[in-house]
Parts: sequence; C-alpha cells; structure tokens
Amino acid sequence: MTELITALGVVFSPMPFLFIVVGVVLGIVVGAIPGLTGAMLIALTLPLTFFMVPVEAIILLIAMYVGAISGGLITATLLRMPGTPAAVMTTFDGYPMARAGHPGRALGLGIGASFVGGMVSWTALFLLAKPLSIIATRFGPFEYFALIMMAMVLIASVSEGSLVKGLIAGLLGMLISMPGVDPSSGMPRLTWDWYMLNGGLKLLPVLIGVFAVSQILSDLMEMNQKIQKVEMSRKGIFMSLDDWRKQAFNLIRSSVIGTGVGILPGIGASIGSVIAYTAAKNMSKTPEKFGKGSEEGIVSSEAANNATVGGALIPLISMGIPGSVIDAILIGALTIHSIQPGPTLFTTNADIVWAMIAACLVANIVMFIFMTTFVGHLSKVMYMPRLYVLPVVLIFCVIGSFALNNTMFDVWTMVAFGILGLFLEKARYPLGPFVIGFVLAPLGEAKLRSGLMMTDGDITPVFTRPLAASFTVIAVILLVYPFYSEWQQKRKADLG
Amino acid sequence: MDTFVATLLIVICSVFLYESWDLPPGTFEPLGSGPIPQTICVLIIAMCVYVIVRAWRRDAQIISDPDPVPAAEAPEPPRPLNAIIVLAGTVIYILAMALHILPFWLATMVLVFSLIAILSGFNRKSMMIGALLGVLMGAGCQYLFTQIFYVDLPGS
Repeated sequence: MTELITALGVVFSPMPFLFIVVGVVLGIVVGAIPGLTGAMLIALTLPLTFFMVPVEAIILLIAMYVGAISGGLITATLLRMPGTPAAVMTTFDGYPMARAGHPGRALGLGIGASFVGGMVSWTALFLLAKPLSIIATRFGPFEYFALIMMAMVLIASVSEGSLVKGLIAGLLGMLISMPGVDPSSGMPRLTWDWYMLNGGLKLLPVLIGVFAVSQILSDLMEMNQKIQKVEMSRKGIFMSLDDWRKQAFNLIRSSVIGTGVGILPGIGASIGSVIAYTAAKNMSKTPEKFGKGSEEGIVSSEAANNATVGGALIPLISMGIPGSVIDAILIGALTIHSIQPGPTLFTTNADIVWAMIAACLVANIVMFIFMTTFVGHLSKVMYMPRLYVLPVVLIFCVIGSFALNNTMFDVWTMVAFGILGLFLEKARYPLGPFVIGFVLAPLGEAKLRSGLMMTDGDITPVFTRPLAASFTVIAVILLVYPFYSEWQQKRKADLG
Repeated sequence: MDTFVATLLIVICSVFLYESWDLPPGTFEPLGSGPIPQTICVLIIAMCVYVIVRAWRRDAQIISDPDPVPAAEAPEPPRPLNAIIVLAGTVIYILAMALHILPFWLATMVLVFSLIAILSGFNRKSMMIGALLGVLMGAGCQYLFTQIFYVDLPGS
C-alpha cells in the first residue's frame, strides 16, 4: 500500500499528471477516429518517449491505452463503426439506441460501464500482480517455454478467423524475429550476409508497418464507404442511481469476465467484450432486446473491454508476457528504456511497476471525467475526413521508424511490413498473433535452449514437470478442440 | 486472396528454410541455431498448403452452388488504386530523402499536398487544405522534432 501511495504521489506531480491527461485525451481522440487504433497511436508515440524519463514515458503510454479503448465507444454508438476493434459489440446496441433518439443515454451507459470495468480490473491488477510475480520467479526455463507456447496457441485459437490462420500468423511473427545474431552462439543467423540484418528486425518498424501502414492502406481502399451517422445529444449522459442499481450485477460480471480474459496471455479487449456480451445475453430476462438497443448489451461490452486493460497488464508486469497487442508494444517500450520485463520487475524497477499501476487508476478516472464532460465535442472529431488524416499519420509513421536508429533501413522495413500486413489482413489473418509471436519468440527460444543445456538435450521436463506439463496440456487441448468440434459438427450434419 | 497470400508465405518460408539449412550445429548447447527456424518454416508451409487446398475446395463449391449477393446489399467495392498511389508516393518520398535529393521538410510538403490532391480528384478546396497541411506538417514537424524533441529526421 505504501508503494502505491508513493506512486500516486509521483503520478500527481505536474509533468506525469500532464502526460496522463494528454495521453488519455489523445487516446480517446484516436479511438474515436475510425481507422486509427490505440496500437497505432502507441507505436507512433514510442519514438517520442526515447528522450523522456522512463516513468513518464510509461505513464503516457498507459494513459493512451486506457483512452484508446474507451474512445471507440463514441464512434460505435454514433456511426455504427467501431473506433477500435474492442468496441465492435457496442455497435450492436449503442447505434440502435442512438438512432432511436437516445444517443446521450447510450454514450452515458457506455462511459459509466467503461469506468466500472476499468476500476474492477485495476483492483485485480493491484491485488494480483505482485503475488503472481512471486510465483513466476519460481518458473524454470521449461515452465516459461511451455507458458509461451500455451500463450501462442491461445492467441491463435481465439483470434478472429480460423485457428490455422491464427497459428500461421503467430509462427510467421516468430520466424521474422529470428534473423540477427543468435543470442546463444553469438553467430549471425538468417542474415543473407547482409550486415544490416545482424541486429535483427526491430520491433518498432515492424509494429508501425503491420499496425499503422497496413491500416492506412486498408482505409484508403475503403475511403468511399458511406457511413450512417446519428446527431449527438447530451441528454441522459449521466447514469441515474436506478441505472447503477439495475445494471450492478451485469457491470460486475462483465468486468470480471473482461479482467479474466485480459489476464490470459495474448487475448485482447475484443474477445473480452464478445464473451461478456454473450454471457449478458444468455442471462438476460429480455434477450430479444439484444441487437436492438439493449442497455445490458452496451454495459456488458463496454465494461468488459475496459476491464481487459488492467487484466492484460497483470501478466505483463508479473511474467513479462503480453496480455494483448498493446501490451506487446508496452514490452517494447520497457525494453527500449532498458527495463527488462519479467517476474523480477517488482524488485529491479519497483518504481516503474507501481507508477504503471497508479497511472492505470488515475487514467481511468481522468477518462471518465473527460468523456462525460466533453463527449459532445469529441463526437465532432470522428467526422474528420480521412483524406486529410491518413497522409498526416503516414508522415508520423516514417518519422517514428527512422527515429529509432536514424537509419533508412528501418523505414524500408516499415514499408515492407505495411504491405505484408495489408495482405495478411485482406486474407483474414489476425495480426495480433503475428506481433505477439514476434515479441515472445526470442524469449521462448532462449528459455528452451537454456533448458536443454541444463538437461543435456532432454526435452521431457516439458511433459514431466507439473506446471510445464499443465501448460502443455492446455495448449494441446486448445489446439485440438476446434478441429474436434468442427469434425463433430460435420458428423452431426452428415447424420442429419 | 487466400491462395495468393498462402503462396507468398510459402515462398518466404522456403527462402528462410534454404538459408537456415547451412547453419552450424550448436557447440555449447545441444540444439544450435537452425532447428527452431527450420521447424517453424516447415509448420508454416504445411499449414499454408492446407489453407490453399481448403480455398480451392471452397471455390469449387461456390462455382457449383453460387449464392449471389443482391445488388442493393452489395457493399461499395474497395479502391486498391488509392492504396497503390499512396504506396508509390511513399516509396518516392523515402527514396528522395534517402538519396538526399530533398530535405525532410520539402519532401513532406510535396508528399502531403500531392497525396491529398490526387486522392480528392484535384478538388480545389481540398488542394488548398492540402497545401496548408503540407506546409504545417513539413515546417511544423521539422521544428518540433529537431528543436524540441531532438530527434533526427530522415534526409537531414
């Protein structure tokens, strides 16, 4: 508790607090503009943090994370276009309610639910991160390797699209991380005798390419799509006491689901909101209202997607495993600032960890105040023509990639991965597993090889040590179950 | 698209697989540098073959049992030309700076203005805004990044 109070003191000092406000506002604005995502914002902001104090840099990025997840609500409700992928489920009920003449109420329910979701997951972050990190310090290399493999399968199996495509994307991310000097032997590997590849492909240009450039190109292709919009009104922006009472159980359930999904390595806000929405619909007394402007639908989706933020920070802080794509970028940010993510973070960089936890809390409160006060003005941002926004973002992509090492090689890398990302996206390969594979592969390989050195080439501890075996079994079940389920459905259809 | 992307990935993985073939075995540890990238390549290639076969079977089924989308519900077709123009513009922009033909501020002004002009179909109002935005981005970013953030810019 003392550490948290100290960290809150840091967060409330002028500069960090300013960064929180700026981060939340930018996050909300970017989240509200269709086509721009939180991952894109954070990847583009990363180069600007090189010259900042690490604590302030991480605080800024966390604030953006919270803001970006929340901002998607505005577009989802008023345009039927999710500003961020996490707000997809909100479109189902937010837009019909807004269209029925209650846009303020739809937004009010969403903002209130986002706040509660954020607070519940923050509580879990505060209570669980440290104990989990203590448990994680007992992990040996085989446990870590099995955990990373389980995370990879988990990400692939719950990503949009087919399991096979998720697995391909994850493996491709792993493969792309391989060129460079082999950390174990010190010899160049997969460099084609090209000295520029000796340092490997850097995370930042790959991220900017895959998430920002590919998104820009994709948006440009769809610039002619007509949007359906609703006029904004602030009436009903505050939830009444009766609303809080009626939605209390839904709020808590959805927040807990969101937090739980966030904790699972590699799964982001989109899945959290889908599960919470489905649970709310299944348990509702009026399931027929879902998809037609149901209050429960908006509340469940928004509480869950905001709850994944705090939840996803738990594996990041306690084990160095990203809970979502944005967390993978945050791992990159920590590494750039010479901070090694992992279970020892609480002992080596306690100030950073507690600042992250405190920033998550304060950013959530700032988000609630800002969204409630300025939602009317924010709704105008989303009508900003993409014709002007996209070229500007493109310039920031080039600057962001170049600023890492002052080399044009990184800019070309960004372009190449932008094109690859576009192709992958158009063929419905999820990009989340790609990035998480890219981030986790070096760690997974290092753990496997150090484990094999310890056992003289014997891999059986992956199956015999209790924790490693549990992770392996879960991974196998996750891998086999979709195929088994598909086979059963096919069999039923044949019999029918 | 499925077949094209899967084939592209097979080509990429084959290049990686070929390059990883000559990697020496480990001296201090049993695994060495090669087996992990080799395993990943083989897995990706196998799964891409599966994706291609599945896509072919699906296409064959669609041909034999077409399910057309009614014209009124059909979404607007995408415009790949927009993406190609922006991509080409970006490559020229990066080349101009990499070869020190144009400094960052000037290249940025030209790129922003020309992209907005082309994408708007040379609409006069959009071109005015594009020119203003180009000046703002070129001069503004040059000042912001070099004088305030102390970040080097390409082409400088």
